[in-house]
Amino acid sequence: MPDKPSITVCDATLRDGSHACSHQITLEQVRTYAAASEAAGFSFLEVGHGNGLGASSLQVGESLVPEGEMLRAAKACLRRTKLSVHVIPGFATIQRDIAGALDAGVDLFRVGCHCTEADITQRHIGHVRSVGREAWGVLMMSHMASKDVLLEEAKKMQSYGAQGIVLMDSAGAYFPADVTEKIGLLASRLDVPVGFHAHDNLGLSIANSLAALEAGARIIDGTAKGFGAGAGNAPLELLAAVLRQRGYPTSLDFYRALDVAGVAEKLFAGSLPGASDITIVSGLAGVFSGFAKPVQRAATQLGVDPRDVFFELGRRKVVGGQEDIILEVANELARRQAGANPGSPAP
Amino acid sequence: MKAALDLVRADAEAVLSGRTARLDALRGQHLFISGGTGFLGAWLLELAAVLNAQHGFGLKLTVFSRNARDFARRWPHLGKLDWIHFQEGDIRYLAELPRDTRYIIHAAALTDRRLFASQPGAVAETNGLGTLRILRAANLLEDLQKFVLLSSGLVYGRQPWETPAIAENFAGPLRCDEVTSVYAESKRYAEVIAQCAISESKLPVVTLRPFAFVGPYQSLQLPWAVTDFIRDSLNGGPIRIMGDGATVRSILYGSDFAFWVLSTLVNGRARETYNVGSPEPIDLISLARLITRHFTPAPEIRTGVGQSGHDRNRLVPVIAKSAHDLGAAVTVPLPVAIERTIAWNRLIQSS
Repeated sequence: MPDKPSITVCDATLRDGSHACSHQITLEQVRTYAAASEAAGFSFLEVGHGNGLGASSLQVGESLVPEGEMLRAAKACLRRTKLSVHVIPGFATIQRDIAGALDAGVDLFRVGCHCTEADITQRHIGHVRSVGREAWGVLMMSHMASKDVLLEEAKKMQSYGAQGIVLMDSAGAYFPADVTEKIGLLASRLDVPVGFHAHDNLGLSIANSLAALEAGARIIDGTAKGFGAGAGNAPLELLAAVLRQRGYPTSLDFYRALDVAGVAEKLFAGSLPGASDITIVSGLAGVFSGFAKPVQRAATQLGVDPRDVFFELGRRKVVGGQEDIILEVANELARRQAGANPGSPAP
Repeated sequence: MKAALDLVRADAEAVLSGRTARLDALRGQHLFISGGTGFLGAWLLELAAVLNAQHGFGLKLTVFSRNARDFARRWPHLGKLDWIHFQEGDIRYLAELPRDTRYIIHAAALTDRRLFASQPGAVAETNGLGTLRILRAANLLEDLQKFVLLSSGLVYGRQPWETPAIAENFAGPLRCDEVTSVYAESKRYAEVIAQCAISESKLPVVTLRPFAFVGPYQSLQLPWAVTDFIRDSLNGGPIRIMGDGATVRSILYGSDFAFWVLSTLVNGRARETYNVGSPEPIDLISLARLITRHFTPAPEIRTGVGQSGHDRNRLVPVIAKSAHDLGAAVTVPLPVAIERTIAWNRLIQSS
């Protein structure tokens, strides 16, 4: 078998999984899981609110535990595995949130934005690099932009000093051919390593991750048992198996990497994601996976079909951070419904 | 702070030592420097300060920049000199120059690589239109002696790996379907605009093509190899090299760069183009080692952290013409340049 490049495997369980449990991850869960991640040898463990540093709020959900405590608790369990955070400028400020994360010992800042808005990441990436920490750029909702636009935006992040670029399939809307096309172009045109972060809304997270690797990705994201937003992410235990079988060198201890599934099953029982009519429609509509719970809440509250809400959100091309539109859409659907059935009272 | 400024002053004195006769024509003259608050601008002012204070040159300077006031406040040892007039403005809207201007150095340009991807239109506009504007203003002067245009070594496009160094007549390919070509293309356009001014108005334009530099006053936030390596080392490392470290550059110290430019004002032949840079090649892994040896413990150097297809490339000038016409030379060897730069940054950080 020809030499394959070494793959950086990022464990996003304690960050993307935050969406799956309405940001109610406990300190004990952080400690127990971080120890398992360390034992498995993942390159990075990402910790924090689902929407990243500084996002805990009424609008997108409040974290149970302050992020500084979460980060310190995780850091205390890590040796080989490095600590990373997700950063969305706007939620995260340099002075308040990044400074706090630096103090907590975060090694890598993955600075994300909607896939056509890379300009907003310049100051955050620049600041992280200026203080000597590692910064990557993350293009979220990347299914919404063409490969050429993604390359332009990725080049901006690279020029700001990003040391890696990750495409997120935040809506779980990709098919393997999309991944091959987009990751392939970035991998051939960027200097820095390229990565992929999958969601499983259409049951393609592993297939898409493999397509990314074979198109040249050097970074791959996953979560234990798929613990993440919407239908969840690429399950790390399956990624570990695929990487091993395809001969990609990693820093993983294979059995310990398989073990994280069992750890997650115990720790997050009741919150583990799975495919449902809602997540499937969310993937088809190309809407951010993190919207699943707020959409269900709004639909229940206003008596509308959550699948209709998702399709309408997709039509409006709503992106992460626009959670307030969910209620507006549900309300409008409820009014239309009431108009179509004038005899029934509006909920 | 004083120690940092003393370091720069000593370097300015050293580069001028025994060479001021080459600059005699500048005595009592008014120089206009566009973009005079960047890395090159700061060094030009440092050398001018030595020429006036120690050699009685009686230079008068107008420094035109978008950041003129900030610069004067940040560096009061230069900002408070009464023979330097700081003029704040945008080169795209420059209409006229001081009437007694005899020499012009046009260095105003958007050179920050982060802008090449983010605001390529602004790069094209500032670097192209800005050059057009200042040449038109220069054309109104009664007694202009020399106009030095700062272009870029990047106008050559890709230097072939098997070509050790490139002379001024090298014409390499540039990709005009790449947004990040905007800087090199804007500089090529600026050069062509200068050729138009020479042809139409017989302006005495000399073009310089700078390569890579290091030294005090250089921002470590710019994503260039040498600045990245120094900044990461100051932060404890590691140094991360995308490829295998075989990429080759040559790097000139700020004081040599500034002397080279001043000498061009006097000795550069109108209509000619000169390379500006060190002719000594160094690969990135050797450059990283040159830097890390100044730190204890030495920061780790990681190679191959980029995509596997990362290309090696080379950018090194031939400087025979500059050496002959301008008396240009490397007086500060790279190891010393690196040492001085690190020392300066440490002094600035601690002040």
